[in-house]
Amino acid sequence: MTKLNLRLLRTIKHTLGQYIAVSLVIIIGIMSYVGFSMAMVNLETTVSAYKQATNAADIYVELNRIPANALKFLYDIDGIVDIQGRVKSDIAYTNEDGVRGTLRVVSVPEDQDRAIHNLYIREGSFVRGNRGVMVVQTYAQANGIEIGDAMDVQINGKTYRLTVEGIVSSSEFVYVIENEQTLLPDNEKFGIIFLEESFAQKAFGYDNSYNDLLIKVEDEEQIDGIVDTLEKKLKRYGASRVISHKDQLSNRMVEEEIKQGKNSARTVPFIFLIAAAAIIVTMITKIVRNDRMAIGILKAMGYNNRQLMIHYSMYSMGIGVIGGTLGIYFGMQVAELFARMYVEYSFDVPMLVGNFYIEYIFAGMFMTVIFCVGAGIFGSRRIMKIHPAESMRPDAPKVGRSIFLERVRILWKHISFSWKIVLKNIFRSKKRFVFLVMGIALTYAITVFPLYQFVAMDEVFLLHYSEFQKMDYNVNFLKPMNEHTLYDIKGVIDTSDIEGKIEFPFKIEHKWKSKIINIIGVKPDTVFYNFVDAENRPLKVPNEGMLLSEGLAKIMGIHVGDKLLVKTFVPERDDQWVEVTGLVKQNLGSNAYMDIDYMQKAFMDDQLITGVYIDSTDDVKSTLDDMKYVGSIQSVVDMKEGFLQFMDVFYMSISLMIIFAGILGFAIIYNSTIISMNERQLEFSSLRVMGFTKNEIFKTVVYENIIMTLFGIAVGIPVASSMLNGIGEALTTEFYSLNIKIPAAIFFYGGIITIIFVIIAQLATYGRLHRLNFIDALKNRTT
Amino acid sequence: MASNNFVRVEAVKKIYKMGEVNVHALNDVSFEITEGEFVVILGPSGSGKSTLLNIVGGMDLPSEGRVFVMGNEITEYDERALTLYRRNTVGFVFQFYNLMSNLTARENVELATEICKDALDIDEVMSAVGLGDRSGHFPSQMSGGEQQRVAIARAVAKNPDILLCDEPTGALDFQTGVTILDLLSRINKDYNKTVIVITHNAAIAQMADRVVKMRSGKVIDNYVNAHPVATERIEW
Ligand SMILES: Nc1ncnc2c1ncn2[C@@H]1O[C@H](COP(=O)(O)OP(=O)(O)O)[C@@H](O)[C@H]1O
Ligand SMILES: [Mg+2]
Repeated sequence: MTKLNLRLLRTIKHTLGQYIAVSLVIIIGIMSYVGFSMAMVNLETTVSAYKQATNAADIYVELNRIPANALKFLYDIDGIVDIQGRVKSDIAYTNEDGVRGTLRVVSVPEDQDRAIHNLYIREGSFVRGNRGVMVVQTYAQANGIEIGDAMDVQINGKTYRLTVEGIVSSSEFVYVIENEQTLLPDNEKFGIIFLEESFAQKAFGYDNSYNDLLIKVEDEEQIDGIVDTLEKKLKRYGASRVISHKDQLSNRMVEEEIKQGKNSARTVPFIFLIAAAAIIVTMITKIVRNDRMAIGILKAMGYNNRQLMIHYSMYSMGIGVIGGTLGIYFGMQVAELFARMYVEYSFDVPMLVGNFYIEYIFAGMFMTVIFCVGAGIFGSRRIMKIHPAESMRPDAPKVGRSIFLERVRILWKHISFSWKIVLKNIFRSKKRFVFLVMGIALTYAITVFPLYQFVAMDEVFLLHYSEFQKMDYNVNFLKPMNEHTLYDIKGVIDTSDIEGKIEFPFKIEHKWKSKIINIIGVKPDTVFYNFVDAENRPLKVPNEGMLLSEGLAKIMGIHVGDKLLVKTFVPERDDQWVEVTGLVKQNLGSNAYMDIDYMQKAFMDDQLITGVYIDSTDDVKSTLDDMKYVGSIQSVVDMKEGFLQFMDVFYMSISLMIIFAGILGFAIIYNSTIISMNERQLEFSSLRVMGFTKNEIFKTVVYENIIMTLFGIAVGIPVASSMLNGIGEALTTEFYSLNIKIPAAIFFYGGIITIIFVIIAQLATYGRLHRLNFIDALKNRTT
Repeated sequence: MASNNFVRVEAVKKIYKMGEVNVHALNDVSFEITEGEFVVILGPSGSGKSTLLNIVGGMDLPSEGRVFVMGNEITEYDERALTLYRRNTVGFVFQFYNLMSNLTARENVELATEICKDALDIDEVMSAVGLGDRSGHFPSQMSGGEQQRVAIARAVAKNPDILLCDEPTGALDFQTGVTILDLLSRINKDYNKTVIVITHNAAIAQMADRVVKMRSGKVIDNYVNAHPVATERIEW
């Protein structure tokens, strides 16, 4: 090894703490890049391979009833290659612990090999004949259901004792949620069970007929055309939904999840890499400045600029090699872990394609090189200017400048000597001040971000389920009923409020965009909804026309006053143009809202309702469960519980993000403090000579950093809040919108956490101060 | 055969611009040095000695005038040629030793020899400067005199043609200073190196083969000392 490299190695050893701190920041950056990117690509590949392997459908159709022998006529539609009829229906089910939930019953044909969405058997076997059931594994796992267990299910008022014969997964339900509003899986309360076709037909009263179709087409390009044709052809069978696989709920959620993961892979790593580069530039700039004389001597010995630039850049190349190698290594581990977590916890996918993508490794290496070497060269650029003759000259005395506070005489006179030292040092170098303040601001913003996510989710649920929707129970009937049903229900439970509602899917079209959404019909003076616009001004459902949720309007580019084509799936009813009279602030899901009378007249039949909203303290669930026309009963309490369960998973990613922020904050504070201490050795020595104790000196350093931290947080607040507003905007999807008021508390907690990081970094520098050799500093003439 | 214009300085001027003021650090300096001489440049502080040495050492360029070393005009050299010149032809010894603190004595010497063409045997040089047994020590573990010996070893081991020393005893006590001068004189004799020593201490001139006296950027005297005195016999 050359002696120059040896010197470098010893310098690194001497500044090992700083070195490790920056390397950690690089590791986080590269790890999150490689990890996220690979995980997301693998996830995408996995899901599509899974769908391929299980013959996933291209088009999904829900209808009222279609005779089995009518299916063959659909083959006339150009491009359709396969059709599979099913019976699909939701039933209420109480699990062994007495927890009420909903099961989606789906029939499967006997010939599994040729089935669309054929099932993946995780345990047991495919059902044979009557009374066998296959349970989706998410539900089985959450409810402790095993092969051979009995399940008593009620279908159309009749109880069947079914035996669990298989635990399965289906590519139709990769993300198992009940509907758009649910958003988060609640595996204890919602699951899918699969019954043999003929048995399901008999039990639900669909002899030789179906209410649901899966369709395969020849060519992806044809799907939209076929969907249109099917909508028309199937109208007489009461088709309520004809959707392309792209619009299917599970697919959409999966896609959204992957999209967000990819976004993270594109942003998070760069925040850390840029921060690391900034730290490296500062470190090397300082080292070069302190080594000015050594550089002069090396030049006097005959070393040239290139050799010296390489020498100092090697310092950061080392960081790059360590950070890059470990980052890539951990990134690969984490990629596997991430993808596994997704397929096992968020999604239900029985396989995982663990491809290794060399391009991300290369990209990771490339990024490390760019950031580390770039920072190294940039930081050491001053070497060029150092003249060999400088080695001959003793240090030029530092230019003592008075800070502006000193000019405020009256103030300055009353400040204690220690505080004068603190203040002088803070304002000593503008660059250092800016670097530290920006660094802390960044740490602060990164800390606030996960807090925001956490609080925002909470807030969104709270807003949606207590401010926007106010019902205790949301009851859906199995089929539309006469309004008189309301009185039946009133007869069996004590309600403080009850209203009939219509909730029915329609396809809305605006320009070239279309979307299937549930339009909800409510009384104009409903007590169950609190419609407000973005500025919190109250809105009312119009006599004619409709309100639309804001997120949906944004995605489709709809404004108040636009007329949308509402395509109905109700037989013998025509499509209609309806004006949007207002945009409703709705944090979860996307809907349109109409006056129920108008809706009945325009789209449905008079006096028909599809469900009721109830406020009651009775045990509504158990009472209504027995009514045979009741399909699902959603209680707000259940929704909230499900949400809280989900938050547990959330804690992990939030803690991780906060730890990352902490490492960054640590690296920034620790490194700049050490640098500053080294620079001030002489000053500290003089203070020691003047009788200051080491602790007193340390205290001035601590005060200084606390003041800088407060500055940093002050700058961080607007940075973070504009960042969060941007993120809220960016994360607004058709499923949820984060247009919430950012709670002030997170700024406070973010500040506390940031200060804790700073204190930890500070304590880490304490030992360093104690080891500073003051005597050496005074007599020091070595470099 | 000793050439009598081993180093030739011709009408060198050096002007530092300090804002409005021009500092004439060197004002028309000319002299010659013969190969193998032990030269002492004598002059009060601020007289331009270091400036002159820097120019002869290829670390700085004159504002006017020319410098020839072994027949080559170094004042014509570009950055690259100057670097090679510093690497192979000259060795420097500084007043404050200026060793790398995190390298041992021996490593400090190697730092210099690693990049030059035909370095001397390091062990030999280390014993020549009397530090054969201290090679593994770090600068902080050595006294000022010892550090300066390391610095001399560092300059000599490169096997340069000229050794340039800027006040090598300036930071040392008298007794140590004498031993350092003695060492330089031995190197001059044993290794047959041309040595130029800067000092403001007139007594040192007694040991020189040639004395160049400076004042206010000018050479006021330049003579060959017919009877150089051995270091231990210098009268202080
Ligand atoms: N880099 C510089 N910039 C401006 N003036 C300088 C510089 N180096 C030296 N000088 C001035 O040139 C003069 C000669 O300096 P120097 O050669 O260091 O003298 P000596 O070594 O004899 O003490 C002094 O007046 C000094 O202030
Ligand atoms: Mg001088």
